[in-house]
Amino acid sequence: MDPETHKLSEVSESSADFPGTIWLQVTDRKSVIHKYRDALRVYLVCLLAPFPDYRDEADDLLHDFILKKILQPGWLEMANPSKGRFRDFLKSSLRHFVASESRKREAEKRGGKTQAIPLDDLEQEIPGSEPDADSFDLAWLQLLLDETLHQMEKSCAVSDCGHIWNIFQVRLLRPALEGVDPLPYPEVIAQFGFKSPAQATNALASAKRMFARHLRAVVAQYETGDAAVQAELEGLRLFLARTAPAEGQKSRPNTKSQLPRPNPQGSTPPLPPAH
Amino acid sequence: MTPNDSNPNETSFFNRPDGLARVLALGDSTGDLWSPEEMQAMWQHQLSALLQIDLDSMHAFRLAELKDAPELQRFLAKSFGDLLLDPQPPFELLKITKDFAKETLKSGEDSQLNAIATALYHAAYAAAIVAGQKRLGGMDDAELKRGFEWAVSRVWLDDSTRKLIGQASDSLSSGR
Repeated sequence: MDPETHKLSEVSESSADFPGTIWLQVTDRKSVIHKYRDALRVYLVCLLAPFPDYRDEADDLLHDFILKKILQPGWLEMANPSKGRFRDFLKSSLRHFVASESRKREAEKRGGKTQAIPLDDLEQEIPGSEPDADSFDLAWLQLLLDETLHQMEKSCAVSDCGHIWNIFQVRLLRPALEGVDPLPYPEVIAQFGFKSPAQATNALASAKRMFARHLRAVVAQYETGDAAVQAELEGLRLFLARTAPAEGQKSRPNTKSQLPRPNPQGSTPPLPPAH
Repeated sequence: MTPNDSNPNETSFFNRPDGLARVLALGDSTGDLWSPEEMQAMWQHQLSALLQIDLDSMHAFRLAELKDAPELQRFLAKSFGDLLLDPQPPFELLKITKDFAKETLKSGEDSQLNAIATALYHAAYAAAIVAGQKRLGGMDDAELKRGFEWAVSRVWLDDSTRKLIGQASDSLSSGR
């Protein structure tokens, strides 16, 4: 399968409704929607929070959004990578859908007479950062990272590389998630039976590369192409830096509970000549 | 263990932007894998590693040629540290050790592992010089001196190896 177009050479392109190259993308995105509906729900709940009459409608509205928009033929294809990120497209579409649906419901209640309702405000562009969008992006990121870790763990189990997952946990993941100290080197080599620093280092480096690979693969489920994946990851990093500026601006805390710091003796050693 | 498997209290970092940022950064290729304080443990680990384990991976054919040599028999189950500090280390085994370290440097991307390999490289050279043997390779005195100075300045180097390299460096200075 071509990773850029998700195109299967054997898929027929003669379908009038779904050309083969797009069908697989649509199918992938449906699964993305299924995975990230929780993030959409979080966003919707935050959107509706200022409107008491609609607070209990979140699940119904989300359900209708998925049925009437996402699953409709051609709708997902409107998500044009050149126009921005896929999750921004989802947020914006949901926002407009909710405003539109509320207008219809209000009109029905009034026997067809329309009038301005508070939820029209949802369609106004809010300048600057919006807490609602932050909640969606945070929820989206949590789901994305959770899926990445899940896929990595599964991959290690399937390929009989359990030690890679385990060393990733004790040296990197638990310190990041729980704030504990990384398992010290002597305990690492005792626990995993590494016979040399090369074995230990290669295992840990492999774990990092595997995490990075799975992260990109998960993002690639909804962003097409290496450049879009990279832009999405960079966008998420910038979002986190903006959301937690005090933390983002700090260097790594000078405490025991931290990931390894750059080596102060890290001057480049003299390289042996080619003999 | 993924966030969903953990105690909710333990996943608090996963619900905060700073925790998410740390997890997102786990795949970054920059930064050291081990802390500076762990380099000493890594070097000790290298010294205690059995020659056969590490060298086998790269120099199996050379070891196979040498394994029947009487002077090498006593090192078959010995470590790098045993070899370096032996009063009469076999020249060919020091040469293989030097080449092993050099290949680790060529192929390695990890700066800390490279530092360990560089120290091992110069320690092998030093062991040969101190044992009164010919040079392991073509490095001249100036290059060796620089390498020895770099090695002995590593805070994580053990005292015995530092002394060995110091002796070799002194013998270069005295023109022996």
